[in-house]
Amino acid sequence: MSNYNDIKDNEIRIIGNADQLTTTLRKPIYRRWWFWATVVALAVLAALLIAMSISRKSNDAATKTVENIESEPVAPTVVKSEPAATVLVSDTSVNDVQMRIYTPVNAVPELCIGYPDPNDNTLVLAFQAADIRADNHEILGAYVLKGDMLSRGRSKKGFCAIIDGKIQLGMAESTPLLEEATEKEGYFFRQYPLVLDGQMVQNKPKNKALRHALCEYNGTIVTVSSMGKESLHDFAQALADLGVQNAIYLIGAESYGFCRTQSNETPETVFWGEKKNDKMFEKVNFIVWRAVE
Amino acid sequence: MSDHLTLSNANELIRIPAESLVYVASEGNYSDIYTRDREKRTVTMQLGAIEELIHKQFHTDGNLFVRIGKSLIVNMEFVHYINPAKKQIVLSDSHTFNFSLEASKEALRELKKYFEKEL
Repeated sequence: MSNYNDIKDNEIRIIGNADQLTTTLRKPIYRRWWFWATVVALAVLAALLIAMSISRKSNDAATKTVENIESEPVAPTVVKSEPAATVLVSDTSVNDVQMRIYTPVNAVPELCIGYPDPNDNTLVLAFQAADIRADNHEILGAYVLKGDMLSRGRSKKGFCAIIDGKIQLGMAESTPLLEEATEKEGYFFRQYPLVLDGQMVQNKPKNKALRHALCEYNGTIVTVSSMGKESLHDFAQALADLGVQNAIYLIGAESYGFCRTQSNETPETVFWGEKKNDKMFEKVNFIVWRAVE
Repeated sequence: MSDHLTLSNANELIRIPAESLVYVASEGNYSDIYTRDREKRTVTMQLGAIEELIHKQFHTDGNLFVRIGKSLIVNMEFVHYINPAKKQIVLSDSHTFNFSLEASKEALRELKKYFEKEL
């Protein structure tokens, strides 16, 4: 016995045993609760690590296929039966997520900075596009307005490029479409990717809010709004389950926007959200659809 | 083999017959030694040091003393009553002394099992 003080309060030790000079009647290790707790904890940890490893491998595989995806350019929807530029509105529900689909027809997309004028009869649809940085009130991520690069950066991997009036959605750290947009007087902005190649993309925000998305759906470009407050995950999953091929996020919550519909040949403008006039929103920006000239 | 536990320092020497030593309780750097005559003697030794002396001086008698946790060394000859749930152990010779002591449930449960094995 090297140290006679080496004993715990829950142990006993026989002193002076002739056969074993000192006998410790400690419980066998396998009869101690902490032994089994440790075994269980290690087993759970091992299972988690294996599960995470498998998940990471599958995610890596998925990521490899979607990391640099961009859609084919989608031309504006032309409906000859419609007399002029308008927005077709339909409602649907997937996974208990109520959604409204806006399909602009006979209108071309573009970006604009500042609140669009709803009295401008050439505008039929407007959604807030890129986020504004809280620190310097600049646009978050790369932003091209009619060929002018107004902002740089790629904090969000999703992007929308509008070149020659055609929209391309995708997800990439860098894309030649950014340069192409500057060369061809096009438009470009970044947002969260929601759906790529029919697969939902995970994003960090977990809160629930009204959601908007710019989507490629059945070969046309549409915007989709949730009718209720949804998590980004549930909204993206609903879009994927709806059959959306590609989608990026548009600013949600109380963001401002409007659409002009043609019901019974009477134009009707529907608004949502609210205008904010404080300094932070000097660079508020929109994707709008304007009547084909 | 010795039949006495001998404790010695610069000033004094104490000899206690094994059959008279009832228990030793730790008091930090001191230890209180209780004997059959219900006397308490405090020595400037830690309990571990006394255990070592018991081990070295009594070891061939075998199984006479038990260390219970950090605070007690007990002469097993005088273990009269063990109740782990109450954390109680009573040392008695059924005649001249009766010491009721407290120890941990787990340690007393082990000691109870030890005695049961001897049945």
